[in-house]
Formats: sequence, structure tokens, C-alpha cells
Amino acid sequence: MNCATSRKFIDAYMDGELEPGMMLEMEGHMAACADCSALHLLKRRMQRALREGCAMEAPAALRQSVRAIAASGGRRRWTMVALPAAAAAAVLVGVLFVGSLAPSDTVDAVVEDMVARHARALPMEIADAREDAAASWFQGKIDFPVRPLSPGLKNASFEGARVSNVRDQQAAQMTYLVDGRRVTFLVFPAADLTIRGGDVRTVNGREYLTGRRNGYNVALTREGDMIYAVSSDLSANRLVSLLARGR
Amino acid sequence: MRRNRQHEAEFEQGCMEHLDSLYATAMKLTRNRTEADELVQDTYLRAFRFRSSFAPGTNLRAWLFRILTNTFINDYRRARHARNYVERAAAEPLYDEVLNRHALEYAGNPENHVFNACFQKELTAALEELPEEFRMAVLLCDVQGFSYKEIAEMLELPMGTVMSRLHRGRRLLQARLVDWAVEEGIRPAPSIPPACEDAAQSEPPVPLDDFRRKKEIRG
Ligand SMILES: [Zn+2]
Repeated sequence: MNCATSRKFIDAYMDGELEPGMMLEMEGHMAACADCSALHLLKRRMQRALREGCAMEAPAALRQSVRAIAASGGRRRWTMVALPAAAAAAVLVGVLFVGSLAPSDTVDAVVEDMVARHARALPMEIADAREDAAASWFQGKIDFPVRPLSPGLKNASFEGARVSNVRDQQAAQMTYLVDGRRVTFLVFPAADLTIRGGDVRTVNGREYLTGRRNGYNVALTREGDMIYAVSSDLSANRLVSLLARGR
Repeated sequence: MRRNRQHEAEFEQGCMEHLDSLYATAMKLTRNRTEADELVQDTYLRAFRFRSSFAPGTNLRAWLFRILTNTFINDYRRARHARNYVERAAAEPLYDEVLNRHALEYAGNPENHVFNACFQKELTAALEELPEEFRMAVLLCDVQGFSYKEIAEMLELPMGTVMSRLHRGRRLLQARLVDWAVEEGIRPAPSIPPACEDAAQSEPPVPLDDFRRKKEIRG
């Protein structure tokens, strides 16, 4: 055993992942070579420092939430806060959450599509317009009427609009800045869409579905034949309240 | 019936026992309290919804970490950024060759308490800046003590990929420690690499299987 070989296997040696014969050879080299044994010592010390440095206790509030999740058998209990109308805490039943642990099944393709529209941040077709002008701009371009997200919302500005799509459906896409974060608002026909995944919460008798993908939250609701949806890196709660305000 | 209920209570208690380590890992993955909190809750939601997919008698801890890492990868990671990190990391020089014996002994000696106090802080800070792929391998192996095989199964990756991510993550951490030690004046700037360390230093480790195969041919 020379140093070059020893250095190749020093990590696996430290992790106890070598076969017994190789383990012995490495031990022999460590006893004879000061350089390699010093490196081994440093690696061990790094490992210990990492283990100790990363140790953490979960906050009491989280422990409580997790207990509630356990008690409900994995159905989240949402507490709605800071919503305009008196929104009672709604007990969530994960009926729409179907599927296996496979990641692609846990969040429906619709949610994925919406996040993709948000993440790609394509340029808007109209940008220097008022929110209400956008609604009429969509006339003749898409086959359904479009209502803006939430007229008169504080800390929000309308940034632009474009024609887009979600799955096979044509969609009206509008961009806003809310609390300084970019928010993508999509309106599209519900048609035969089956939306699986995410969590359901009820605000003022209306159901909202939320999901998460690639670090972005999505919230959507169905109104008649249309789906109104927002995606952003704002919290799911905030997104639901944005939608709830305009409905 | 009673037996069932006992199983459920055991499952629940078993899951709760890993809360701290799941949370600690979530904090290092998301680097954000709110997201770590949500990630842990999402993990438990899935664990309890899909508890039937857990085979009693198998490793509950590994099962929970598998859910945590998969949830993080799919729902919490902004894929666009991840790519850049990896590319940048690939371009970084690897530093084993610049650690001389004196520095190694000094760093490795637990008696050096001055070094000790900051060592841990500096390391965990450096860990948070590692590219996600490398950070995850280091967290699962060095911090949580999972075996290569367990990590490979968890992340659905070949064992060789796990090994090379772990290796590169560790070496980036080492490099950061050298930079830090130089800045702090704990050791002089690295000069000439020791003669015995050759080009092998800059290569990723040889997969164990390759090594075993070589041995077979030789022997
Ligand atoms: Zn050696």
C-alpha cells in the first residue's frame, strides 16, 4: 500500500465501508505513515465537529404540530389566520390526496405546470397597462372572460399579462408584485381536469387546494367552470388569502 | 385489534423519536426556519398517510429520511439554482494536496482548544454553503451516520455517485477550513504539496466494486 492508494480509500476506510482485507491493509498503512494518519485524524475530527455542530432540538411548536399530524393519521389541520372575513379554522381532510409515495403522484401535473409558468418568468405581452385594461386585452385572444386577481389590494402592483396554457387548456396569465414578491395569477377552464395532490382548506365555504413544487407554493380554487390559481414563493396561507379576497 | 393498536402506538412513538434529527437536517437543507418547519410537517404528513408502506421490522429512521429527502428534492428545491451550484463547485480546486502534515496534526489534535471552538462553527457554516447534492450526502453520512448503501437507496442513486458526492463535499469543507486557518493566522498559506501525494488527489475515489474487481484479478 502506498500513499496514493491510501488516499483513494481513506474516506471509505473512515466510514467502515471497506471489505475486511482492505481494512487491514489500510490500518497497516496508517500505523506506518504519519501523513495519512494525520489526514485520517483530521477527517474524523471534521466528522465529529459536523455531528455536534448540526445537532438541534425541534421547536416545541413544531413538536406539537407533528403530534397533531400523528393523531389525525396524516391529515393536516389548518388554522387560517389573517383572513379578511371571519374564517373559521377548517379541519382538512386529505381526500384529494391520492397516490403512492412516488414524487410525481404526490403533486398533480397541474400544480407542476403552474409552477413552471411561474418559474420561467417569460416576458409579458402587455406590461404598461392597468389591471382593468388587461381584462379587455384578453378579449378576442382567449375564449373565456377574465377577472383580475384582487383589485385595490394593498402592497400589490400589476406587472403585466400574456396568453399562456396549463396542461392542454388555454390560460390567461397575469403577473403581480405582492409584498415585494412576484406572483403569477392564472385563469383557465376547469374542463375535465382532475386535480390531485396538495392539501384542501375551506375558507368561507369555498375550497382551496394548495400544493408545493420546486420551492414554490400554489393555491387554486374552482369557481363555476373556471379555475383561479396563484403561484409564488409567498406562503400557502398568503396565497389562499389573495384568492379568497377576490372571490 | 389490541395488537394493531399497539403497533400503531409503537409506530407513532418511533416516528416521534426522530423528530430532532429530521428537523436538524431540514434546517441544513432549507437554511430557513419556516421552510424547515414546513418540510418536517410535510414529511410527517406523508409518513402517517403512507404508514402502510412501511414494513415493520425494517429501518424506520432510514424510511423517514427517505421521505424527508424526497420531499425536499421535489417540493422545496428550486431546480434552476441547483444546477449552477454544481457547475461552480466542479470548477473549484480541491485542496487535499495543500494540507501539509504539520497543519493536519494541528487541526486533528483535540487538545488545541483555541482551534476547537471556532472549528465547529466554521465547519457548519461551510456545510450550509455546499452545493445541495454534496450537502445532502455529507448530512446523511457524516451527521446522521447512514451507510453508503442506505444513502444510495434513499436517494435512488448508484453507490458510486453517493461516494463521489460525499468525497467532493468533504473536500470542499476541508478546503474551506484551510482558507479559514490561513485567514486566522493559525497556519501559514499552503506552499508546495508533499511529494507522496500525487495526481490521485484530484481524482474522485475509485468505486469499491472496481477495487474489489482489481483485487480479484490480482489475486
Ligand atoms: Zn500515506
